Amino acid sequence: MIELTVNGKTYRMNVDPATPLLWVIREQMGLTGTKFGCGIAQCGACTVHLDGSPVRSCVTPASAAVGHEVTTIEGIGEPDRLHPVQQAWLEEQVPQCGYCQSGQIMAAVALLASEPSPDDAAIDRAMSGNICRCGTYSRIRAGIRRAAGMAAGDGEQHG
Amino acid sequence: MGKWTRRTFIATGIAVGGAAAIGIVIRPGDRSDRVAGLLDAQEGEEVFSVWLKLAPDNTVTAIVPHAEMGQGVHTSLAMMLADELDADWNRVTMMEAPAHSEYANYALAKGYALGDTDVPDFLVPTIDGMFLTATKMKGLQITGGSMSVATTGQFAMRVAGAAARAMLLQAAANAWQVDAGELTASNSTIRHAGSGRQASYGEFAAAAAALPEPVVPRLKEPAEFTVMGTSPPRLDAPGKVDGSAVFGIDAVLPDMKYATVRAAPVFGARVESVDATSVQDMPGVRRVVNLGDAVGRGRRLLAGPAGNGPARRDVFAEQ
Repeated sequence: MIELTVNGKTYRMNVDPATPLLWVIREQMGLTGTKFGCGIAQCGACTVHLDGSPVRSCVTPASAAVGHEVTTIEGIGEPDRLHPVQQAWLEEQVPQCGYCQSGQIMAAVALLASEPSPDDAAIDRAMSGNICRCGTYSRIRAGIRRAAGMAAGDGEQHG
Repeated sequence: MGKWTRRTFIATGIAVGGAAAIGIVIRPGDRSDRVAGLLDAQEGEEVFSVWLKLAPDNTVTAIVPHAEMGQGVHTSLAMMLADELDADWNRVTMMEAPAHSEYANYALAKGYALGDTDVPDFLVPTIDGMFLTATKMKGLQITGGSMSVATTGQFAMRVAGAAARAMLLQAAANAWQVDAGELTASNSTIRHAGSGRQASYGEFAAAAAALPEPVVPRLKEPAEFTVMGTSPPRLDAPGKVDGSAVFGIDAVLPDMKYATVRAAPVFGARVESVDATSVQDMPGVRRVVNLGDAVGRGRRLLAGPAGNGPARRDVFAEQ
């Protein structure tokens, strides 16, 4: 039995503590926005936040999340109040097939939290671990730049 | 997917054509009792055809039989339908067509085999029926070959939109006792210039859906397009930025089990033995199956080192 806090909600789960966090989130909690891509921390599709920092949930044992705040794509905005990154993603029409986009957005949110106005080199550095088979990279960059502008204009509301 | 040739489809068409001649003619756009129950029609919502629902509040739902894989087909096909319908794009939505033989991609097969060949109007229902029968027999409900817009869009969505528009105008003409030719439509609104009357599509949805569907409605010339040729926001984007979009890996069906194949670590390897003891007793494991020297190809698992042996449907059927 382990206790996990995901998107502000506490779950008591009867799972092997060595189970990758990804599968606990997807299968036990039913939060399927986080995707399985490669299973070996090489593609970024499974990116979630652990206390605000991006981690690859496919190789993070559930036990490593105990006592920390886990945030998934379902936890960063509300339907009528999207996170600025999600809003920017819509305005730039970033997703194509969309499979990697939850991970891309989580990586972008973490980047902007630590670096509110990243230049292109900083964006590329921070996002290089998230692969997009459709090749939406230029729009991802545009989305981050747009979100950076929005976040700056939005005061401290979204950090 | 095997290679399709025009020859294959033409040959299939001829074979089925024989059946059509003795009376098996299906109008693919027909309202179909067989799918109506699968289309989640709400109170007051009219199913105009297998491709189109219209609600009293003017919400148009395009029913798209193709998978969205990033190519934008959930938006582009809805646009093609909405344009011919003269619908208000802001009230257009889409739903994925159910997996059903009524959605066999007859339009894809027809487009692939006939291209832009002119077909006499009176033959259209027979030819459409022929291709529907052929594709139903083949179980073809697929997405591929860059064909969705060129075939389903062209031969199903545009036709369904134009047909519904004609039916709506006819229903208004009947009610207002004027000639349908005197009516115009735009943004889901029907207008009669002579009398100044106007009404929304929703008001005539029920009356229109009861009318016979024109098989060969007039399609617009490119200069008349209002939605096609524009670049509206994609209908699938919101679900892909909040995590709610359902991908294959997210689908859950009753009694569903997961299977995974442990592939050979090197090319050309053969199975000598399988020791299942290390996984057989893990919680949740149902069974470990030795597939032998099998190769997966599409839905089939083929025996033989090159995957060219008989199909192994038995492997999963018994689980």
